[in-house]
Amino acid sequence: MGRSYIVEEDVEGYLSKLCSQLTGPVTGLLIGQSSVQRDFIVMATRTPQNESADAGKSVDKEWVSEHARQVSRMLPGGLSVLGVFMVSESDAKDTLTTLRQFLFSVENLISSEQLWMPAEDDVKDCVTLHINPKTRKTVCRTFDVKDPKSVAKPADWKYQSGVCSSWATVSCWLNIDLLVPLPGSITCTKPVDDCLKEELKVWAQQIERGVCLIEGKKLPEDSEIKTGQKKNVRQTYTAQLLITPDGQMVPDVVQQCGGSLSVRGAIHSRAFLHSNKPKAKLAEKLLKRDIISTVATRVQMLLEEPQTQTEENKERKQTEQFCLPRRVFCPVKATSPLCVCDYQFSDEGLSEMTDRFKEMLDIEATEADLDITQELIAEVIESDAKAESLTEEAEPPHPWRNNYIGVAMATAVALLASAASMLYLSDA
Amino acid sequence: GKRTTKKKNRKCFSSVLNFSLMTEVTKPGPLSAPILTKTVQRSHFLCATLQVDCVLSKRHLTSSLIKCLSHSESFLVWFCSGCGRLLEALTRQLFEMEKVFLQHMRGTMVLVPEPLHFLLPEPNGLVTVVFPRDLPDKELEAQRRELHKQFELPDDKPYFRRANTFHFPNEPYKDGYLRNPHAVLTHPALDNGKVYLVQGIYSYHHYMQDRMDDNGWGCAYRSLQTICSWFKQQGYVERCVPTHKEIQQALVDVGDKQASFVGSRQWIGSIEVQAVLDQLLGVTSKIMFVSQGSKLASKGRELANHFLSEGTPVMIGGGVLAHTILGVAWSETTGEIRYLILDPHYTGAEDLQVITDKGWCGWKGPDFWDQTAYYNLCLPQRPRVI
Repeated sequence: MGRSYIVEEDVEGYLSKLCSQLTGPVTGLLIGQSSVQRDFIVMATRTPQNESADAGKSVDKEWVSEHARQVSRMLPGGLSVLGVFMVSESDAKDTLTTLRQFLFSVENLISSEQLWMPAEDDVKDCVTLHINPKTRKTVCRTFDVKDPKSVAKPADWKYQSGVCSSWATVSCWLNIDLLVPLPGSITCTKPVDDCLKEELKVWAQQIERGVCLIEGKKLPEDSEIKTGQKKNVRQTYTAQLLITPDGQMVPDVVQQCGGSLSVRGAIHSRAFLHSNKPKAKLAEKLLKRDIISTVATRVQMLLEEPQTQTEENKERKQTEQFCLPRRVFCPVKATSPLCVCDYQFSDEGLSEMTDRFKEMLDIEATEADLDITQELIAEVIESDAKAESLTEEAEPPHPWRNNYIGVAMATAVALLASAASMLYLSDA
Repeated sequence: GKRTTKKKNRKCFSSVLNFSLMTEVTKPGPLSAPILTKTVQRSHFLCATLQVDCVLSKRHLTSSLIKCLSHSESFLVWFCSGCGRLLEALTRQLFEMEKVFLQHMRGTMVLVPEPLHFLLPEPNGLVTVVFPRDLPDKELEAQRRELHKQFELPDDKPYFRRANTFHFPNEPYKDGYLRNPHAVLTHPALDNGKVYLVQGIYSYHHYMQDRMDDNGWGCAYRSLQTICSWFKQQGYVERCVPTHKEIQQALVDVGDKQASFVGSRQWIGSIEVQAVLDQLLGVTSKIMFVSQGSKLASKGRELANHFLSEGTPVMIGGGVLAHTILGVAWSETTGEIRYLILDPHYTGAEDLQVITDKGWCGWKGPDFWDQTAYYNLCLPQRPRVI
């Protein structure tokens, strides 16, 4: 009893086109969403040309994996790289071995970057697809990517129209406010990266533990999200996230430091769920993962930028500010709520965005298609930016906003009981 | 006897609602993308977890409004205004923590503040005080003196020692001993009689606890342990409840017994209990001698006075048994008397139901005592300190 892949019709057209190109073997990635019962493939994208590689040399594993890693960063919550495909005339068995190698390499690289914890109910199977361009024969197999010894299992590959249409979207804007002390003696950036990554891990755990409200309500895990909208109307839901501090008591510390690093601002997070009846638990899981990924990706991208790394000592500046790139969305198809995304640095234009969508995801998009309204470009201000309020109270005054550097406020009382009324009313 | 619910003056604490403060990190957008700011500056980084803990009791809110609403409506009104008050209390507490922080900061050494709740006599009720977490009681005497002044409290009871923090009804005790098993009993209603009870909290110590098989000889030791637990939990001493060996060693140390006494199964009496309380806890005790058990019935006034002014558990030894007296019900006019007894001869588990049903903690009449045997009572005196 193998897995069943329901594939968007357009993908058939795309793969067909690749078949008729006759430029030698073509590899690529398959993108979609897995669920326990079945899997949905919404798009396919070929591996970009490796200009530095020798012409005619077969595509190598590292290149495919690197492409997958970059693509993975461009997928909002709910969408992920589900497998690899190859269009080639070679023997099915050899191809399968190669594809298996690619698949494991891709999955290992992608999962090595993720900061969120894998869950018990995650689907661990990924797909390999081999198409022979001459015979158009399609061989579809799945592997358990968490088991290095797993064998190929047969799977169904079915094309269907409208796979991209019935998706629910859950989204939110989330404030982020991290503060990390820098080590005392040195000013080189390497430890800065590590300090920041450590802090991100702690923050990611906090997000994962957070309480998620959808349309203002905390829903029981297995229930569905409903807003009373009609079935064919586009389903979008707004989520809210409430966090509590860690239950464990972190030891108090006073230490000398050489300065601080802060990340402040907001991100827009989005996750897609395929279903007429999206489940609250899944929505929460996918949204949280997207939140964590989008922040981690941007920090990573910023740290990779050359300007943050060189210590050009024109004069030793006391404070330096760098803008994290902002998120820009691009629809997968005109009729679909699904989007992919990319990150725009302040010195980049929209044409660079469209170029990247073309190169990485083989999407033809115009500047007008791009949605740049979700996040505003951050402005670097000379003076210390006023802390954005994290709470919504309209009470005067709020003295604790006068920041003591590093002082974290924590409360230590149990959760609000929904049965609170029972306790009180029984006191009659 | 039949068990009832809490006494009237405890009703307001029978329902406790716990809240957790959460921070919403999402906001309506669109908003600005994040900025990474790197500041290079020699400085000190302080990271401390501040446990903020606020308590509100229903009486803090106006009751006149509540009276005219239905039960569920009044709950909602109370709840909503309660949340607002809780946030006000949170703000005030953070102010106080800031004060305590700055007060005790020496260079780069900081003391983290913590909130503690104390139940004061009416009209104060439950109050919350912020103390530096790692300072022991003896270094906070000045603060306590100020608090006594502020709340107009007498200078002879340690209301603000850490051991006296309010214990919420739904919080379990970590050490597993039962606390105040007598609290669930129905107290006898004598004609013109009043009930005089131990004041404060004690733990029930009895045979076979702590993996110590003292069945048949350890009853006085257990009664002594119960008394020691009272002094610890009211904040008079920091010393843990002594073991049988420690009790025996104390008696050797004061010269009352030979060295061979330690490790033996020899009984002790009220005099020894008095000596140990003095030696280990610095507590003095009065001894009351009763020549015949039948005469105990006439000691109503003295016992009542003891519970009024000292409020400590009383150890009584006589015949071949030792017990703990936790209170008396006594009528001045009729002379009728009942004794609230905590029996250290119990060998079972810490099961409140069994202990109260079977009378291991219960009210006894004057015929409980051996009418012909003589009895010695050890009445520990409460130190007059803050």
